[in-house]
Amino acid sequence: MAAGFQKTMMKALGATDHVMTVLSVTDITPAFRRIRFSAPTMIDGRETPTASYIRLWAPDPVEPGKVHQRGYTLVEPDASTGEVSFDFVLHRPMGPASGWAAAAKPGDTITASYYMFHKFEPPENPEGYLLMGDPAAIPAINAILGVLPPEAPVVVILQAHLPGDAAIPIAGHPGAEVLWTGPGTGALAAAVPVRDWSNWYAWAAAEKDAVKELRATLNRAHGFPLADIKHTAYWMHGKAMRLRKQSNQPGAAEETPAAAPVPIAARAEAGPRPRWRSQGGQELLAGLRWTLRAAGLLQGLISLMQLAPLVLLAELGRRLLAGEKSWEALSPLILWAVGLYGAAAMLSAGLMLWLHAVDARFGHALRLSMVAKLARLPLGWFTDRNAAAVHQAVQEDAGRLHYMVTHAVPDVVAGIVTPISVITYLFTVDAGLAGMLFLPLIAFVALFSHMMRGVADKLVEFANWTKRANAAASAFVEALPVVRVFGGDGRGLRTALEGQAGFLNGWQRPMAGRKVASQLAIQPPAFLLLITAAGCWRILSGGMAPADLLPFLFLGTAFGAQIMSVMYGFVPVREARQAAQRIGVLLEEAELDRRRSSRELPPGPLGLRFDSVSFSYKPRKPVLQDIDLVLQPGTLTALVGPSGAGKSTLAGLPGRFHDVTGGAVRLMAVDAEIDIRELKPQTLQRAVGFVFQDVKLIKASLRENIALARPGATLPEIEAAARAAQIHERILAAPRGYDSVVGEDARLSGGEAQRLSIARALLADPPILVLDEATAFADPESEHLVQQALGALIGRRTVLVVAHRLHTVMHADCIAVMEAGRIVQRGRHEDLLNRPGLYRDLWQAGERKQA
Amino acid sequence: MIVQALLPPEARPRLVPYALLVIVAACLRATSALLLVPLLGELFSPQPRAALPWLVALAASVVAGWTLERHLVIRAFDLGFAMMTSMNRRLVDHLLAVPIGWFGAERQAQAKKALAGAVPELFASSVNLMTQASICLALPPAVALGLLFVAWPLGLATLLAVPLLFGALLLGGRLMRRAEADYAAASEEAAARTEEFARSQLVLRAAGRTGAAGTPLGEAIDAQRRNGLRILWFTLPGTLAFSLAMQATLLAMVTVLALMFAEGAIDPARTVALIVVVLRVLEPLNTLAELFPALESTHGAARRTLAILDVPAQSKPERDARPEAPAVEFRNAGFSANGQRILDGISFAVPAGTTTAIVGPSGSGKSTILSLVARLHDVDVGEVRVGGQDVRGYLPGTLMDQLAIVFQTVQLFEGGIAENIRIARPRAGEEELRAAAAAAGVDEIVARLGGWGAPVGEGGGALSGGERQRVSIARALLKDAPILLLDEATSGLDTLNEAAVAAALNGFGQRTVLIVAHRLETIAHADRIVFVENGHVVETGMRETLIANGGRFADYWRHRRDAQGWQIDKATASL
Repeated sequence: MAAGFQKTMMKALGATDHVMTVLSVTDITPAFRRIRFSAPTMIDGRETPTASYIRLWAPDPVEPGKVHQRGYTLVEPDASTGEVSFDFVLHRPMGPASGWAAAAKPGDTITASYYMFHKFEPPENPEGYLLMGDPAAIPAINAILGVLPPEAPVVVILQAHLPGDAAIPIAGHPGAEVLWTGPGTGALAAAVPVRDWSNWYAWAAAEKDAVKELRATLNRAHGFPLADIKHTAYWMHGKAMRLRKQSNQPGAAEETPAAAPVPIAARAEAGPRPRWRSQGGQELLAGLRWTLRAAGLLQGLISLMQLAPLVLLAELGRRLLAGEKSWEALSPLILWAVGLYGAAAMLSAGLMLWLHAVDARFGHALRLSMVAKLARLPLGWFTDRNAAAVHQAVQEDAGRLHYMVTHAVPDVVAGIVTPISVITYLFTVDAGLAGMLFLPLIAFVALFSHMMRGVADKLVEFANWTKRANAAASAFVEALPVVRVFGGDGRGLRTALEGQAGFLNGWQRPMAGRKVASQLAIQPPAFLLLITAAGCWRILSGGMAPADLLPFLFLGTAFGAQIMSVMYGFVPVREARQAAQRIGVLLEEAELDRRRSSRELPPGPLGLRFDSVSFSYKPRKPVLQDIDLVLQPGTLTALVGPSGAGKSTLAGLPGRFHDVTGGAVRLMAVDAEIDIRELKPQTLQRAVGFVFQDVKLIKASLRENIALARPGATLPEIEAAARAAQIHERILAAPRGYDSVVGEDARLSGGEAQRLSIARALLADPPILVLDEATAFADPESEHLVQQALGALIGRRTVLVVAHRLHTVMHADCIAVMEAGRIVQRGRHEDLLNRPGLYRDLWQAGERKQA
Repeated sequence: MIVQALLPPEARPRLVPYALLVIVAACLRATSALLLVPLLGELFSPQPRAALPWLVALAASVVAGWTLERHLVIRAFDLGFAMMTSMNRRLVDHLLAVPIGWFGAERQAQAKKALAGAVPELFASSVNLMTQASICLALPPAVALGLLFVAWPLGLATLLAVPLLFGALLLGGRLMRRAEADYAAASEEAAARTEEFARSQLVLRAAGRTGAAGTPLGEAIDAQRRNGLRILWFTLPGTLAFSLAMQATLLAMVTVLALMFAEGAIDPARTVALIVVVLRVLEPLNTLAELFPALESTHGAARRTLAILDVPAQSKPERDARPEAPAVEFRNAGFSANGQRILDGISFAVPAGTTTAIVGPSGSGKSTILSLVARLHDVDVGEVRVGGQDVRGYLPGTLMDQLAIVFQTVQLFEGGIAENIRIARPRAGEEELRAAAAAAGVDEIVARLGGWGAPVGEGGGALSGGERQRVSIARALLKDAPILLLDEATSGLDTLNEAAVAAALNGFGQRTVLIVAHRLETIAHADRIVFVENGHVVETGMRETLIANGGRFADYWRHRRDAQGWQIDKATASL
């Protein structure tokens, strides 16, 4: 009754049963059948993430009453009707599930359980997705294909068991290549093409042994880190499909396409080893491996030293009971016990000291390498999303690594060594009594799993309540002014909090008693009672020497607590490993290629040339195409066009925010044109200045903020820049003038911060300036001051303006009109206005708005 | 006590029986440990069967202890639940009475954390932690007292050791906490500097400052390393203090036992039994040491929650004032926040039925003036009068009934647009609601979102800033109060938004309007101008008069007019 046991276990873990009724049966291919079910209790509006599956309980065709459990992927669940489909592969000889499906007709019912819908969560931004499986995996693969980003490259490798299998429809994906291979355990593994799979993500679901072999091949032959392979065994030979043997299907093997590997790219000959970003985390900790191992060993020793005094005291008791009275015989035991105890405390403190010293060095090096990394990333990398990644890495993950280095290893080692040594020692004293120490643990597990019934559902519900309460609290606090104005009483928040409290009451109150029962089972009094009762019985029945009870009384009562700490000890370690991986990913981000960046600029005026530039973040999704644009020295060029046309992306290229994927951006000096990728990074940053709308001030004095781009600037120079940027007087009005610190005693308004950043740019004095026109209108109260400051900054520089209001740039030397990543028109305002085209349309639309 | 303060008054008396029962439970645990002395004494004697009655007694005390502890946890659950429900209510009530000025970004986060995080944590602690921790606290003295009857010298030694042990535990915990707080602060500083470094890459690279050495970032990272090492000199005595105290206690007690044994005061079997009892005195301390971080965190949650209840609430009058004609008047009003003077000597009047625009540079205190009318803050000196009465003389409802308010930053609550507008006047008819929405240009948003009931997202996230202000204007139009306070948005201004503001001004045309105005058209709409600069009223009067006078407003007006037509022009750009 294995299935019965499985079912009970799943229920104990929170699975619930649902009865589903067949609505319709559709044969997509002769051996691939889709059945639509009505399952209103299961598809009830709860979240059904991509590639979620349920457990189907298929009746045994021979033994009535016996059921077999199979996993099936949800297809087209519809919460409004409570309907869902499942796809069945009908192979011969049929397993219980396919046998049931082959005979299914509308009106039939079958039971399904779900534990928790699992989520398909690939790591962020892999290079591509490699999906592998057999017909049983096709529903899941179809679901995954449906949610993968359309521009991502995808390779699907499918194994056909039957000739007709290749006719099973596969969901469309613009970047997907689909390969079919034949039957056989090793066929999938053999079919993986040889190419550079660096940073690809792999997903596999098929027969158990096939998956095992596939995983091994991906790891050894193709370099995939095991952590980057998501794999599931959907069935097993001889089990899932019942007595299925290769020899049963000679025809299948002949008719299906050969399983020969289809190379997509030529075999890379001794090319660079493929790399995965996720490996960065392991390397991060690799340097500490031996230190942490030594720390673990030392902690093991300390744990033993902490237990030894108890053993010695037990021995003392034994001698006392034996009638030993001489102080000379007893005192060494006491002194050793106390001495060992003290030595363990000292060693433990020493270990802590050592690990903290190691951590201080490790953390310091880690932070410096993160800083160094940040300085090498392309400027375009610094988006809001990546700012969150930096925050995560430096604020949270660094702290988790601190725990990992200083505490995790000793905690885990102590948690394992202590109970194992205790129980081993006690087994040598009296195996019978030692065995009984597991009774409270069994009672705990029984009580605990009884308590955890249905808890998975409750946890989801609790998470929902918490989310609601959090959202309501945020909304309430943030909207307090409005709430007050409309005489609100915070009803929404009150309802949410009451709901949360009510839910906790309904859920936890009946559980509180059970929970305490399970905990009392493993607390010292329970062990004390067990040891004395069982000990009395064994002593009275002559099975044990009375003195043998002592070690149990000394060491056995804390056994339950020790076992529990092992169970909880691993969570922080896992978190720390994930943290290390995230930091590793950050440290592995692609850097700006600086191998050629060594040239300086000749003196003199500078222009700028975009030479058939194209750019894309991802293959097949061009952002900019065939951009040819020349900015003669000292001229003003404006980029206009609808939002999303690529204006800002283009404007960032001269600063190497990103490197072009085609063509080149060149600086035009008096007698040479230089590709910006050949310039020293600092030289380029000095040549091209940027003034954007979102100003970034640092927490330092106003003087330092202005001099940020030229730390050596003198105070008169700084003041001159501030004057020209119309911010000098405002700075003098701050409590400590130029020494006032941003965020402390200098609180600048938006327009003031903007003028400060313009002063910064004036001081840096770049010959080429890239400007966002919206800067001039960002703060209505000080527009004119910002505009004056901008006027001073523009001066005789070569200027590229990203413009939103056309009339602001109508005097530009050249206006480039952009649409969908291309320049569609260019010329002076008057010329463009006289021609039909996008510019005239935009201008007229703007005029209408003004009117 | 902090536990008492957390509980509602009606639940406080229930703490006494709970505490008494905890003591009983500790005594039961102590009894089961002490029963080992006669039990082992008999078991190791020539007639071990005599131990059986003692075994029965031990079993009885353990089972009684279980029953009682289970009961205690359920009592603790009740107390925790009473705490949670009453605390939720008290917090919401109190936050509604705290002056809005108290809420900075930091305090907003604090309030949110208390509501959604701290209270559930306190509840969970009261269920999972409170009973076990208090029994562990009561157990060592209980065993010590019991020992006085069994072997008084040992009992005395234990009694002396208990305060030492608790003291060491507390000291160790304190030192650790301090070190960790220092370390966390240094880490946070280093992290904040690193984030700043990431944000400022564009500028820093131009300066060639791509390293950390010699910069504030480098200093912060070095400081973090120093703190990481310094933490040791606190951690070390912290851990050592506790383990040394435990060790000294163990040594002292075993010595006492040895002396008693040497003098023949106790037999070997009882000596051994007493060693077990001594170990049981130490056990709860180890448990407490393990629970310490959780207890600390609970204590912190309790403090944070109570800190919010300690914020002084706004005063409420004994009797509600009766509003007269809908006018607004400032009489020498002054207001400070965080020790900084925001407004000083503000005096002006908005007669009933007129429109006054507050104009001035950003940061001059314009929005604060509006918030004083709505009593989101209270003035420090002078008074603000609405409807002929000091705003502090009204009950909150009476004051708000006179005001329709459009703030600059508008938060919507989750729900549909219609719901969000209707909050202004829940009993308004469907027609009125649609009319107000149409006048404010909200129907266009409704069309975009797909219906009046379509969700606006958390905090109105599905809407742009300008759109949110339009919803807010629709609210004001629907509320139809005698006085309109409007804070015009500075950013995200589009033509539709401008039309909505105009609609509001027209809709309230015959009523009293006080508006913080940025756009020239809005300013032109006002009967009178109040020009504010650096927290002072610099000029007041009719727009034409002020322009003719050539003062600060005239400058402002001219600058704004010029700025509107600004063009980037190399020919005229200064050098």
